[in-house]
Amino acid sequence: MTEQTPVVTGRFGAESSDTYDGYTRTGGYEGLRAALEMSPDQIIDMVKAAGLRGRGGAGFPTGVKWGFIPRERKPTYLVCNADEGEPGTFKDRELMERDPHQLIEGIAIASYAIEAAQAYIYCRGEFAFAGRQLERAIAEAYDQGILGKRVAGSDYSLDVILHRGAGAYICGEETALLESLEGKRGQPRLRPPFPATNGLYDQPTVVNNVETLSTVPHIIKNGADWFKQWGTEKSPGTKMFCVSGDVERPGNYEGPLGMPVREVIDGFAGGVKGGKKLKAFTPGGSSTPLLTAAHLDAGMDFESIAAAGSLLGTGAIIVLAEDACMVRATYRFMKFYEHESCGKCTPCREGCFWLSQVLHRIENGSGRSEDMKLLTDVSNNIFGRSFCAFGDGAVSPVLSSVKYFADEYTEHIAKKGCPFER
Amino acid sequence: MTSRGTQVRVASPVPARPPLSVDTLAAMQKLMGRYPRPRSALLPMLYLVQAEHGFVSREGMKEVGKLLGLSAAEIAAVATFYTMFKRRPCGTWLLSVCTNVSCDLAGGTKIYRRLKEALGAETEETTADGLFTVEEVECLGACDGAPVLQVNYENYEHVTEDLALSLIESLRAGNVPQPTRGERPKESNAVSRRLSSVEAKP
Amino acid sequence: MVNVTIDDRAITVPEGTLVIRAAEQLGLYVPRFCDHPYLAPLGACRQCLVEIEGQRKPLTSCTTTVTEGMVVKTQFTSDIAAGAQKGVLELLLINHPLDCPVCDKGGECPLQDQVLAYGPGGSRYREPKRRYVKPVPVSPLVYLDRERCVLCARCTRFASEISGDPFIELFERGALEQVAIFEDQPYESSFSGNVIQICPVGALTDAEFRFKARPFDMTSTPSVCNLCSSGCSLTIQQRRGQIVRVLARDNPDVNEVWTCDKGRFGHAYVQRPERVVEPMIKKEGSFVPVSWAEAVRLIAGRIQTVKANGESAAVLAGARLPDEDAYAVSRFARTILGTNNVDHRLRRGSAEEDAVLPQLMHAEPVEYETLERAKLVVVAGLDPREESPILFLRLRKAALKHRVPIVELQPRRTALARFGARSIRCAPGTEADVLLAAATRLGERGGVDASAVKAHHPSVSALLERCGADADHVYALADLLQRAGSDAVFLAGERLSTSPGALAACWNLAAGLGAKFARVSRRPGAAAAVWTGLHPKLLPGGRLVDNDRERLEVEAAWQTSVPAQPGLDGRSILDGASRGAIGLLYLVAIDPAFDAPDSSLGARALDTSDFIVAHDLLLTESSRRADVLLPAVAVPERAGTFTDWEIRPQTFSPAVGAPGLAEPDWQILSMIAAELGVAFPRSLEDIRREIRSLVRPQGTRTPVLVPDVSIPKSTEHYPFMLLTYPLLLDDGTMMLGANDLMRTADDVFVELNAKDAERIGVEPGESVRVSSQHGAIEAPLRVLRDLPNGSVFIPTNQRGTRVQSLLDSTDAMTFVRVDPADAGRRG
Ligand SMILES: Cc1cc2nc3c(=O)[nH]c(=O)nc-3n(C[C@H](O)[C@H](O)[C@H](O)COP(=O)(O)O)c2cc1C
Ligand code: SF4
Ligand code: FES
Repeated sequence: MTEQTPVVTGRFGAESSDTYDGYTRTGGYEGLRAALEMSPDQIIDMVKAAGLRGRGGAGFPTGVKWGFIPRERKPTYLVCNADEGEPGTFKDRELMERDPHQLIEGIAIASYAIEAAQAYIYCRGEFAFAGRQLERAIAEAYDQGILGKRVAGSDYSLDVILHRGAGAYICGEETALLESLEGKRGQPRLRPPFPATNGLYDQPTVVNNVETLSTVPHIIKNGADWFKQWGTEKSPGTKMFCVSGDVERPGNYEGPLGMPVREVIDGFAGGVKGGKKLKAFTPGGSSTPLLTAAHLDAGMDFESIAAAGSLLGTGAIIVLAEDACMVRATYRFMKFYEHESCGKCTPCREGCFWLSQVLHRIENGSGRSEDMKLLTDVSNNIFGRSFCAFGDGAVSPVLSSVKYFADEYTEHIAKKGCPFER
Repeated sequence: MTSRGTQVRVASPVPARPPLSVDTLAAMQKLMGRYPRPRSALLPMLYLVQAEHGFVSREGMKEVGKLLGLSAAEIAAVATFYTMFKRRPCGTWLLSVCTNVSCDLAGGTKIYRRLKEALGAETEETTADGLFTVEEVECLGACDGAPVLQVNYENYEHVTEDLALSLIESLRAGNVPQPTRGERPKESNAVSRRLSSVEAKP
Repeated sequence: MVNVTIDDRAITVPEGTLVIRAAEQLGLYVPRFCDHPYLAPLGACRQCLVEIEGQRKPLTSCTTTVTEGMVVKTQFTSDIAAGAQKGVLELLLINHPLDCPVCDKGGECPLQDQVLAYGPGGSRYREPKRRYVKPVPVSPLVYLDRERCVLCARCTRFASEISGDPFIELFERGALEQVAIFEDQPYESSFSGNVIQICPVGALTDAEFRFKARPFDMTSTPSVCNLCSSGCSLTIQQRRGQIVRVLARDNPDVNEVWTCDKGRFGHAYVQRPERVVEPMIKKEGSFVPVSWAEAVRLIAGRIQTVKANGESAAVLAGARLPDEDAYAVSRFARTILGTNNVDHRLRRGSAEEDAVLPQLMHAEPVEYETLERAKLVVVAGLDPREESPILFLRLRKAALKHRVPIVELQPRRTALARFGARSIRCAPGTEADVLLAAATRLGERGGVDASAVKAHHPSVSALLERCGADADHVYALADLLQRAGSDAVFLAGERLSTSPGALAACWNLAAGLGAKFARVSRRPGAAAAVWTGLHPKLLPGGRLVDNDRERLEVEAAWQTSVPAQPGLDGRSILDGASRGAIGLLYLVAIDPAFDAPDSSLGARALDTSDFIVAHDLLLTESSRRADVLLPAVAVPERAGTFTDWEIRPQTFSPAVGAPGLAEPDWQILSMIAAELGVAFPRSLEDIRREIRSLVRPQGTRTPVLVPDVSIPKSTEHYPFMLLTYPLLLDDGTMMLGANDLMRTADDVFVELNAKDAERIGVEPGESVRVSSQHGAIEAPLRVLRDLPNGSVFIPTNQRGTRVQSLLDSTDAMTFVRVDPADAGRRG
């Protein structure tokens, strides 16, 4: 069993780590106190130096993003993206449930760095428990003088407002999230302008993922070099990997970026369930192209996974064992995209609808010989042509499963049905 | 196992609802004051409508529109975008079964089918006794606990078909089992109120 | 300026230009659905993808702005662009029904065109299509077919971005996303027809036009709207001589590409069987058709008799005449009838109006575009959405897009307030007090030359008390005026003329600031009526009848003398007629028996007149009382010019033929002149030449005297002051036959504020009885939050009531009482 490298998950399992007392007993809010002694620019420089990259999926350098915020336009806002909905991903939920103060501390530091007086946590509605944990922790933080007027005794004031979503995956996309937070339909906005200049209420806004913000206090407290002891040059630090599907011990595991996939699956998660062979896995949630056993030695960092032909995404590894049906899995992914497409742009709205029907047909025995070309064509008509990145994500499972598992499709079509028992 | 007295009401007409209570209106005002622009409170306000009326009623949408200075069409445009806003009365217990891939690999789809069969309820439809609404949902972000069943958004993880069926029996008998984490689920209206974040600080 | 290359051709365009527009300038049409030049870029349909050098993916040309050195390849030169567009097209078609043969849009549908040009022969989509109930009416005028919809959101964006009536929205999401209204709340908008026109497919169709004609079967003629003074450019489409559809025509200077529902759907009157189609003479109480020769001979004879006997003649002409007719009527009155008794108003004139009107020509014109650049727009005595809808849209755009502050000054809050215009509310008839108070305040701070105010008036506090306006609001107006200075624009409704001192006070304030001033009337020919002299004191070009030099200029042009005495105004003409003092009453496109502010007077005047000649389209209360009734042509049947409120003349030509023997008004007058052997223009060109030489801007602006107004007080018996003006869709004759349109009109109502309603003891919806010394009406009550205390609003001429019966046009203000209707009946 491989040892984890607990940074953001460091308090998991510790007693009452989700309370203010438990949190401060284990060094909580020291990062914030240290940050308040620094200037906003010093904080931004430190986060840049640490090379922290966004954990929400795109991996954009966090310090650089903060640096885009124009200093002269006020108010500015920080928005924490806690809408975690990418299939296979469950790290943010656990971070909020088990260590909500760590997130609040990260939010406070980031808000101070971009001189925001208000921060919002857009928490996925279905995360009832996580939402309550946050609600309670925020109240504690107010009571303890961490939030509100004079944050931790400084001259800086900050309000953190918890806002629940209402069931829409697309609201994880940052501009759709902002629309939703403004009380509108969660459809993405045109970019440019970017949120850094025209975000919430058209004001400069930083949107960061829960894991990203939860990492920040550790960097401030321990320094950039400390953080860079892990990971690769371009993807420094540790990251949570969510492992699920056909594995022995599904769960969240934290390890250095760049560690081989094999080690995450076998070393952390106990390997494929029942000792079966691995057929396929997503390296970063369902929106990242599937990889196969041939890619198990790839490193779990942005560059290596890209080199293997996929994306690191959220680091959510869904494992499919040898007896899993790839057509069924692809169909099920597509049904998700059909259901969650916001409807704004033609390729995604119509394309996902179409793909889902074709996949359903193949899985249920009505496949046609021309269907595989059709699947590829329609996917290519969505890929790179949709309004937001949802479209690219949506066709990833289709294009990759057709690429690696064409024979399974052919078999479905020839046998007029699903050849798998499960 | 039978499901006595629980039958589907197919496409029941959406019932009318009385005006919102003073309490709810006050809570809405509070929420509107929480944001730099009151419209940001729209989703929370719709949760409050759902908390009082059991779903986002047409009367509630109109009242929210009046408060925010928006047309009823603008409110409905938003309300119909989000899956957690229910269009018709929802059962006391909303059973959401994840059938996305990680859960499906662990039997999620079978559980969903079994529950529907047992309750005789169609998706988005509620049993005649008003107790249960069953729905198939997308990834609930708890794939380590696959398959996941939520009761009013509290997770029951690693459930099996039998566990799911005994769960509804307990609920029907008035016993709410302990979920995998956190508190026992409250009734759906209370949950909707909580989801509005009206009780949160600041 | 930015240099770009598109399909190997270089072009230089202003910074910020969208690639799709730059391509258009080169004549390269990139297909599109959601893009619309007057809507904000959306980038949703993805049909307009093009290849841009250095970019990883194709980009939407409708959202990408040009950058220096950009190299663009459209579908004409790039396989990537062509392939992407083809792909999007295939996806758009999977759920689109194959009902082009029965679709109203067939033949003018970009989707159909696209498919024809680039589309695949067949569909690879084998699954069942999305089905919806169809078509569903979203209003009495608009039908929705969701199966045909491509979800470009043009309609919903129009409703929220342009007109601010967001009653049509996108509901649901993903593949189920659909255009919808809220349950049974229709898409109520005075601009709803625009969504039909901008819908790129046949998803939104015209309730009236449905299945009437195919676009390729129709002949189109450019035209100008004649239903208000906004000056919308229209296209009239006819098939077999019948007008089947009216569209807004793109005119960036005026209506952009919009028009209101009245202009679009209100054309049924033109081709009604009720039209007067031949000259008729009253014989023993009923009309008998005669030849033009006979009718003209009769009129000429009468004119000679009247002149020989020294009796007086008078002319009333409606403010809906095109410029050429207005001019012809003015000239006819002076040179044929030899009188200055000519007016386009049915009410009293006033010294202040007489002083301001001739100067309007001197003012630098205000244009639609001016409003977007102004630093402040003051709207007084005008409800733009009801009275000049396109002006309303432009004001909304100025406010929302260009952040121009707008202040409205009226007794009744209008739709302007919905997008942030500040409202200063005052009691009906006291607008002058507000303007004088603001001017005085401004004068105290040196913001305006105090002498320009030119009024003897009480102190600011006394003024404010009298009008009941909020002092802070008035001071805020003064501040805004000081800041805007000569960049302020005043839009004065014609109604301001009936509020004592208001027009003068407004004019002086504008003159003092050097700010721009425009008078906005509801009727399309109002500007022409003033310029051509349909006014007892004015000759063409704003020349004064009693100014010898100015009159001589006109006499020189006409080569005949013109009476030097000012004539009677409209009210005095009716008074005179009712006393039998008018030997010949000549009516052109006017209906005093119905429209006079004191309706019994209008009818009485006509009943007592010896001899009445009327030109009209239809039989009206007045034209049926004529001795000679002459058939006039309607605007779509003729050529002419309309000068809109901006003083922008626009010409139009006939779109359909005229019925029977109808002739243009100027032509009829010319025939009479010929019969009498008097010189008169013989062609439209003659008239236009004369207008060009006589109607030219001249002179400078000077302040006028503000009358010392003593505003009458309400009495215990009649405690309410009445405000009335017509809403966009009133019960006018021009709305004859526009049945679907009239289904969208408001029912009649009486408006009070909540406090007054409570005092009287009526609930909204209950019927009230409003009575004055002259008459009474009944209608259901509405409550408008901040109508001033003691004020009541009733729309003029709403179907089912005649507010005119409460009025007396000699009174500056009308006082009424309001009671519960049943109480009225009981006692
Ligand atoms: C379709 C879609 C869904 C997304 N969902 C999430 C999400 O649930 N949570 C999240 O943090 N980021 C999500 N993202 C990424 C966000 O747009 C954004 O990049 C991220 O929140 C930035 O935070 P980071 O820089 O800290 O990663 C999503 C992006 C797309 C295109
Ligand atoms: S790709 Fe288009 S339809 Fe899909 S989520 Fe993004 S904007 Fe919406
Ligand atoms: S026209 Fe460009 S995306 Fe629709």
